[in-house]
Amino acid sequence: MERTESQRAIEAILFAAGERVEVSRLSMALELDEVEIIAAADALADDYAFERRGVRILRLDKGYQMVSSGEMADFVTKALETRKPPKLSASQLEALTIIAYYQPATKAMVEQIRGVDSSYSVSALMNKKLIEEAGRLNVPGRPIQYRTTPDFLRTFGLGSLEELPPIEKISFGEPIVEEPVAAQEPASAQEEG
Amino acid sequence: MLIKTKMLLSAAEQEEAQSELDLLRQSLVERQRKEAMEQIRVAIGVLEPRNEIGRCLFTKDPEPLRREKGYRYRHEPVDLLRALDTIAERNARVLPPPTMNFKGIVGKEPYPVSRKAGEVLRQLLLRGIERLKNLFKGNKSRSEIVATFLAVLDLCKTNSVTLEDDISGENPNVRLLDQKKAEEVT
Repeated sequence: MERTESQRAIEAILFAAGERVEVSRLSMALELDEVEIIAAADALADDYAFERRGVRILRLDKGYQMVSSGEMADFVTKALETRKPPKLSASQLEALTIIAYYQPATKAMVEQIRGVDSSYSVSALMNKKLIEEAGRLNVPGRPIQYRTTPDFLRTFGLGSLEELPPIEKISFGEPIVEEPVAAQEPASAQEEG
Repeated sequence: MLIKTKMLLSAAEQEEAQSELDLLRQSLVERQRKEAMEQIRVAIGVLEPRNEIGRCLFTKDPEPLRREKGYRYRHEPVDLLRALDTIAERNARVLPPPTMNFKGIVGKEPYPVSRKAGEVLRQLLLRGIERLKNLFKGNKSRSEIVATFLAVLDLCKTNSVTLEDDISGENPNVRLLDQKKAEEVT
């Protein structure tokens, strides 16, 4: 399949970036509409998968990332003398899944569902960059809320949060008013003042 | 219902009813928690195998940005002059202000009359007599001129010198009277 210039450019950008690149950034760099970018990137990703290339392009939410093929993992670890990232422990997996479904979720909510203390699990997930802070809840104590990151999507082979397996989410008590993210906090604080 | 219950029951019965209500709430919360946890375990069952695949995907760090070598900006030759002017202005600011700036506030120290009296006596010791205007020759400032005038007056007052009118009366002679005293002073 002949590659267009935009596909070659996307290929080069994703390789140089290493990390996930948002569609808006690709659109700005290539001076194309986001729809065209998505079409070109998806075609390129399918091309790589069809030819079973050593590198793949993953679509992660509204961005793309170039990664090595999972089939070649053993060769990669041997050549680079590195190891695959360790498995998540059961408690970390539970905490991560709760945050993924109930995000933005506080540590207290994770502990309420699990029934045990989850401080270590939450901090471990933060260190692994599978979750990130997502503002604070507008209740006494102003606890930190957490949400999943694009690395979470990549690690679990998801294109977006909509691809999570459907479950029946349980509502715990009355809905709590959520506070806007940190950038907007001063404005809301001034309004309350 | 709660108000009616409280009205019908006695205090002890109310307490018992309240504790039963609390237990009911706790058990309801516990059941909700178990149901939620059950659902989470179902999701984990699906996600865990996907994590096994995800762990095999490696990414690379971003390429370091390479700065262009060489100077990228453009200047005119007059920019160099402007830069030199700025440096000179800054250096001038650092230096203390010239004494001319304080001329109106701080005056020069007046020429000491006693020193000038000694000079006049030395001059008269050499020649014995001297024209008054000649005593003012070589005076460099107004203060020294005033000091010379006052010195002559003081020496006249102490009878060290005397003034002798000339024919015109404009330039009298200054004559030394007491040579010994003058030698002692100088």
